[in-house]
Amino acid sequence: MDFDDMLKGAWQGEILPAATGRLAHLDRRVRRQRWRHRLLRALEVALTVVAVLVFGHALASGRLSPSHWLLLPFYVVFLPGAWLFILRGPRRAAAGLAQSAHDYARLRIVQLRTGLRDLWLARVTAWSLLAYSIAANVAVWLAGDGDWRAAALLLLGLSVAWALAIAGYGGRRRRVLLREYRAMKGLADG
Amino acid sequence: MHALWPRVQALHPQLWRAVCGYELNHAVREELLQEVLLAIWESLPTLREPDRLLPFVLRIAHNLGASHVRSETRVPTPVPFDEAVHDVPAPAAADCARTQWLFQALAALPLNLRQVQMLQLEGFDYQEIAQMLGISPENVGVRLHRARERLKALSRQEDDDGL
Repeated sequence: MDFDDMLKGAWQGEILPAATGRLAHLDRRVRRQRWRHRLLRALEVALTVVAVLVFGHALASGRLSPSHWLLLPFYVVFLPGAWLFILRGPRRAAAGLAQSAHDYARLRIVQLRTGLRDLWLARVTAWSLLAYSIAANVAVWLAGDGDWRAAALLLLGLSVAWALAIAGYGGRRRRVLLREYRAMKGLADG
Repeated sequence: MHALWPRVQALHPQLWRAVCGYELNHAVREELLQEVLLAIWESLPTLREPDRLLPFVLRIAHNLGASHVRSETRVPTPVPFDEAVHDVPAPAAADCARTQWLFQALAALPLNLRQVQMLQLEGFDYQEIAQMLGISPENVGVRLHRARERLKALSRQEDDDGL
């Protein structure tokens, strides 16, 4: 048998398995994805509103407690990070899918670079926050009273949790993005 | 539901073959096909020429497949053969083994060669492949030649190993 005929026969031999509710699942999946996206957006908006209300009220009334002073930097780091991951991330891959492979690869490279830069930014800010919280704890434990120490410990706990979450999620995500980046680079250059 | 969605359903076999070229694991293939169908569902309103539905859906499948591509599927694994059970392979079994070999061999090709080869096997000509991939028809010819040579080499290697 001719090699090309063999290839064509083998290609046509790949039969689609019986649809086990594929389309029904698809409909459900579209709805689930939209709801998940809305839920995450609502959660992020709620967190932002709570932070603005709490800190805005404290600033307006002039009654800033130690926890306000110490937790403000955490929110300054956490909120933009959450906005980057939750609101910008999920929509990236869908854009440009119907374009030619070359155009898609070039577009995707730009998106992946942005994703990698976001991850780098999140990592740097998380470590900076951790460094700040350690410095604040040292200062507070040397010169502060009970309220300040409790607030400083809370800040340290949140910073460690945030840094660990970013390190775990960011490391995994970075490997995935880099693998896709290398594949896309090969397509765009080839 | 979009008016063209029933026509997309008739193209599932082509989409399945495209997905199989990017993933060897059956369960993950199903998952990837779902992702492709979801992306088509969302992208259908942007289709300007309904006559070009097949190239449109295959572009989406190949783009998503390229994004999905796994680094661990670089080396084709040999198809197991139990001599105690099969004295002479039945024609259907031989066809199945050839199909399995083809997709394992395709997984070993670089993406730029693999896409061209898969589209040619699907029956597109140089001009159509060039449009779908955004490259020149001459480049399609060069890539196809290279892909075919690599597949031939892999086939020879498989034959040698089988002896």
